[in-house]
Amino acid sequence: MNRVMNIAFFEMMDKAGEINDELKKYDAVSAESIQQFCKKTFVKNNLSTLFIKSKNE
Amino acid sequence: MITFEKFTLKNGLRVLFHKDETTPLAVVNILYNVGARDENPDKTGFAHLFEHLMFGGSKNIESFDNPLQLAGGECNAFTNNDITNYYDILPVQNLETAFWLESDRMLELAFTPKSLEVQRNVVIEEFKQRYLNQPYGDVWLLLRPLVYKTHPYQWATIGKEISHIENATMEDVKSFFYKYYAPDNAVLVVGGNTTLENIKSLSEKWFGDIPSRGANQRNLKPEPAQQEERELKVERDVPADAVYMVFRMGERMHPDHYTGDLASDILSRGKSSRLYEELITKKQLFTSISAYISGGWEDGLFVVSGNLNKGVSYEDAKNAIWLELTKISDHAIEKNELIKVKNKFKTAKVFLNKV
Repeated sequence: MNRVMNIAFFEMMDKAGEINDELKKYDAVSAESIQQFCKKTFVKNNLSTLFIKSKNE
Repeated sequence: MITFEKFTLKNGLRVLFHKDETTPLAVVNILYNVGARDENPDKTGFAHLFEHLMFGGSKNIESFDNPLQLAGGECNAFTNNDITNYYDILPVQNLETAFWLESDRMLELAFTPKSLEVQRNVVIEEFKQRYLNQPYGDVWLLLRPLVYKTHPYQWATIGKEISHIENATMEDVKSFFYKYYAPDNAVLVVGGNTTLENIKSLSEKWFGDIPSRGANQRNLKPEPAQQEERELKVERDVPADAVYMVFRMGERMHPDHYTGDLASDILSRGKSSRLYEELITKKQLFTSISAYISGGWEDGLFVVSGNLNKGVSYEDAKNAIWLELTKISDHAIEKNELIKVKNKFKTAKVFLNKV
């Protein structure tokens, strides 16, 4: 089921040929690329925060 | 390794066949290239309403569910901001039943006022139960417009408000159908223990004469980069205070998707993950915490959310998460931590693809 649905998703993105590269792409992630990603993503100007306060407290 | 073969019918329907000898069941999956992002801002919730209408009978078949059940099959569907997906699972020897059913509802819906009335009420009830009356149910109704100011990702698939569903007319339904439900705007994937020749002949027989209606020519402007920190505080009838910190991170096929996915695992997969260990076990600020990515096709989000322990202030909770995000940004993670998280991830992923 998941395989079939994944094929459909990738084909819709015109990327069916890349469906078997998913694990490789994860494998290619390095400690450095994670740090770079975090550095550019986790900045205040890129942050939206929602706080839900409980009425019961 | 996922293998498949592909062909395209004259009317533009793309068909992919995945041979699977391991199961007596076949899967018929039809993905339509239409989601909540394609909706008119004044008529939101329509793609999802439509998903419901697709089970309300089609041109030549009164009931979708009954014949499928008689063939030993089951079906389901879901809508998100990007797409609408339908699937049927049934014994492979009854595969043609699914072709018959799916092709008839692609050809034309019954468009009966009764079906519209019934499904409209079902969706309104779903809106109330799952989004308005369930604790934390409206989180994404609040977050989406906070994060997206111009892109249609600013509304959830259920819609902006109930009135949009209440006001849906038969004319709206028909024009939506003919605009988006077309062979050249869909992908059909069949998995099961059969042959490509069989799938070719079934596809030609049942879908071949459905007219092309034009592929969805989407022309959405990307959401501009965010320039300032945003914050929304609300009070709700929920069991505990909760915080959601959301960062934008780019589209689905970008390498950042994979990097972000693993970063979220390092932060929150399992009890030895960073957020769990620091914020739940050690500091006892949260009762639950998680980090994950949304995987939006055009523009994804990195989300950190958690429920606060009693007596913990919003500021302390937010600062504590921020500290962990700063740590992972300032110091490269240890190789071992990365290997561990990749292994966990791979096991889960491979397992998922077996199903």
